[in-house]
Amino acid sequence: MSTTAKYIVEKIRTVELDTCDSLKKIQSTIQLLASIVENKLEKLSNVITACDVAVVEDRLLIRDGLGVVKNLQGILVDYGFVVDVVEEDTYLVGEELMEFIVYLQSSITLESIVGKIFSTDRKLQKKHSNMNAKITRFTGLDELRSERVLADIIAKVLSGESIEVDEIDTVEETYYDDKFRGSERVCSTNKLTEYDMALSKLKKALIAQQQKASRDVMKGTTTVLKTRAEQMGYTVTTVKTKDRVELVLVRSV
Amino acid sequence: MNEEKIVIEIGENGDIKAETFGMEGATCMDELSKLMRNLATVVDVDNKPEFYENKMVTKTKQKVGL
Repeated sequence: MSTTAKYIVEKIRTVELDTCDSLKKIQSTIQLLASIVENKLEKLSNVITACDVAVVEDRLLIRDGLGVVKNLQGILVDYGFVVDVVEEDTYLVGEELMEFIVYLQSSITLESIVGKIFSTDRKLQKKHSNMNAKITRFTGLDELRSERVLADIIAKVLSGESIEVDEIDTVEETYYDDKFRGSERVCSTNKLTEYDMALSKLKKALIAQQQKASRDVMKGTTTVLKTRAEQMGYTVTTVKTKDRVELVLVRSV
Repeated sequence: MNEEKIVIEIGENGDIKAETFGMEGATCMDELSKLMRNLATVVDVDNKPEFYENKMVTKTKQKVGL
């Protein structure tokens, strides 16, 4: 009497991915993000020339002791910074792009960027050395952090390790009287799609951050100009289009 | 009573263009300098025809880069 037997077998193949290109992309992205942060802080430095500045808990501490910058909190918010009020004249200012830089495991810190632009006020830094209770959490990275595979990819790329991805073929093998008669692939799964999707999410998030930074510079600059114009006695009307803002300043003389 | 007017355009790439109306003499550049202080460097100034009629009506383009 003859017998036919069918078995489901999983065959695993390991594919090695080249990480060289990814490493270059991550490194250039870090440089780009750091230059955007530097640029924003340079713009801000022009507005807060009379303020004391320090870095505390990876955030910028700004004190307008002389009260010379009108609408400072509004200007900071419009430049896209996350602002916590510490005291009446003192603000703790966070830049979310720094979170992305840290996430990409760079050694660049806010302090190193700030050091190029501002002189740090040590007394102010000491006075507010423990700010934990007052810090607003950044949320922009929450979605990326939930992608466990992404952290794994970044770690491997940055350490120069290759990324190995398993491809699993589910195969049905048929035996007739214990003799192999043939096989048929039932389905095939691999983690490549998962990796691609995670990298695509990272790319999208970084593009969104860069676009936001551009809009923030425009918004912040608009607020500074509007505040100054009003101080100079102008009545200001704002007209916004898709990619531009127009300020119309009118004053009777 | 006269009216002084300044129209400022701020672009997403950070460039600023400013045009003044109804200002005479050095007032035009003075006003723009006060407004733009530390925010932008002047890259181009176009004088309007009125400038040559002893009226300092000037179109100014300034840039701030991101």
